[in-house]
Amino acid sequence: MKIVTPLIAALILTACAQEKSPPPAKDLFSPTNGERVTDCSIRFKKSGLCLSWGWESQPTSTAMGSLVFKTYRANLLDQSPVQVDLESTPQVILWMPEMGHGSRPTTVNPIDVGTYRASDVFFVMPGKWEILFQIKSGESVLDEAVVNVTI
Amino acid sequence: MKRLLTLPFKIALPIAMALTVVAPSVAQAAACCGGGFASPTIIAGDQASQFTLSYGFNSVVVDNVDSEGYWRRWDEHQQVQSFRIEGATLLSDRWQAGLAIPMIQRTRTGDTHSGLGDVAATLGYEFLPDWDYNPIRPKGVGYFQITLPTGLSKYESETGALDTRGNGFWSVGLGALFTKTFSDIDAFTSVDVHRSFSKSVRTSSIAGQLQPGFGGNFSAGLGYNFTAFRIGGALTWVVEDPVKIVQPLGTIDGAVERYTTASLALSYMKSDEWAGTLSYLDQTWFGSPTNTSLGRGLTIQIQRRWLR
Amino acid sequence: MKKVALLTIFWTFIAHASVSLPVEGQNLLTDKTVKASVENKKGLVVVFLSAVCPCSNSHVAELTKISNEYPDFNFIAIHSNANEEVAVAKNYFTDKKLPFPVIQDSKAKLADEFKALKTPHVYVVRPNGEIAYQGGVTNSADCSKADKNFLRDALDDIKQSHVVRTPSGRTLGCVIKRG
Repeated sequence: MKIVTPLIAALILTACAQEKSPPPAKDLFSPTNGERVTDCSIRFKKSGLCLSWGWESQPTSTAMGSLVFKTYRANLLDQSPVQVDLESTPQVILWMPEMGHGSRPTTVNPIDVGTYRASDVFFVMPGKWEILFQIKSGESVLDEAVVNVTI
Repeated sequence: MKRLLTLPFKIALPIAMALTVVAPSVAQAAACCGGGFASPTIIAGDQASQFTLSYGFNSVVVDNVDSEGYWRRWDEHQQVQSFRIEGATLLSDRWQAGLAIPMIQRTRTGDTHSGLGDVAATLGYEFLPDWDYNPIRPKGVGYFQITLPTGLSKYESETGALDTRGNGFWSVGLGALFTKTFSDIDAFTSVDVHRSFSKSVRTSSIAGQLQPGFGGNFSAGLGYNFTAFRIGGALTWVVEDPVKIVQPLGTIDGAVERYTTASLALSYMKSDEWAGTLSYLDQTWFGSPTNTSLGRGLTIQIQRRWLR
Repeated sequence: MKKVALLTIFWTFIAHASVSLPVEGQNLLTDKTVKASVENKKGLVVVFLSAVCPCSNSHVAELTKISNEYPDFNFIAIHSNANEEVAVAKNYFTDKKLPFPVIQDSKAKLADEFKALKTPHVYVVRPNGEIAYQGGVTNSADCSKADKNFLRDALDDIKQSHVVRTPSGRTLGCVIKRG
């Protein structure tokens, strides 16, 4: 027993690393749910506004991309989507919640009512990311919608 | 007489050489994003003081291992070069102090960022001296280390951690290094526990309070000595608590970071005063890494010693 | 019972180690048996030396000087390194002309008894076998750069019937290679 326990501990500690491959992705860059906007699956936390988004040009490991997103409220009568502008031009943040870092800042410009383009979208590494759609007032974040993607 | 004067300190070499394998700490950090806790600058041998220069080249080969253990690689990887200056000296027969100053450069797809890493200061005490022979009892040096957040951390980065060079927190740690020589074989083991302290952060991505926790390292290694050379290997296990990011709209909990660095080293002791070490480090061989990136690299180190 | 156990542990650690006298072995240079005792002397100085270690070599002249300056003490050297050929050791110690014998400790029996770690490693043994001092000759690997002479201090203290001011000193040098 005196020899077995440290031996087992040594074996556990020096166990070879096992590379685990990620499951195959349906689409490397997960797409939008724009067609089902009425289910409002992506919501801002405070205002409850809905959001849909999709890639305009997909970023790669070396090149930036852009995405388009739309913001909605539900029609009071029949819950159909009504595109609305946000209080201010939102910010799109790319963040890796487990690794604790983000990516380069993106640039967001309004295109039409409730329609925005985020360009300079670049993921510095593969893995689990969050795309944060934030409404800010100065430095303060007033509201936020979070989309989880796996790159 | 000539043979006497040219024959090196064959057996006194191992303990000092063992330390040089422990020392290249920058390459032992998480490959992509700084972090880790700088290994202490400790005098483990009989010298009165030492000065060490290290250069390391590390390449990220696995860009991300997530919390479920999936390994992900891209075509373009980060390269990290590090240059480290270390010094340690005795304050008295058993007390010693050390200082480490790293410089880090990261490159990816033509983008390069460089600067000062986390400076670390160490205070050590030889609590287990080997003043006489014991077949089992090792020599032990305990230490207290403080790490200054002089290197930019990944949380504060605006480039997706390409410009990170350090942990980003004030940290204090306690540790111990044990060394033992058995004939031509030397062995060492070291352990440390450290605590990092909260700080506020404001970037274009996050604004709030960073709340780190505890972290720890455990290393073990063996070496074989022949003439003026030593060949050895070591493993270092690193674990870091999640860093919470507390923001007005919610808290990001983070995830535990864990990785293991294996190293192989060849050392040459030109004289009592000069020694050089070439090390190969690989983070893909052992352990169950999580929430980290993994790299491989080479480190070359030159050490000058002043004997007691 | 607890008190007795604690006291026993305490005394084990602080009690001075002792060795059996005389120190006996085969003379490296003459192949004859040599016995080193403390008869009619204040003590016996036992020093472990190497034929190849630079640190050991740097202390040989000082040891020769000390042995001449302290005639109240007997001196004996012991050669225990298993990785040093006897012929090489013989040549070395013949060349050094030490004024005291050198015992060839082939199986490191004496090294183990004294718990000698490195070369040079010196012991000052009282007539009752108690080790009054053990450790380095000086506080430096190179004798010429030392600023503390542990061995001289211990011999002076014993001569003057004082308590040995430094009963243990750090040993610096090459680790004794046991077979």
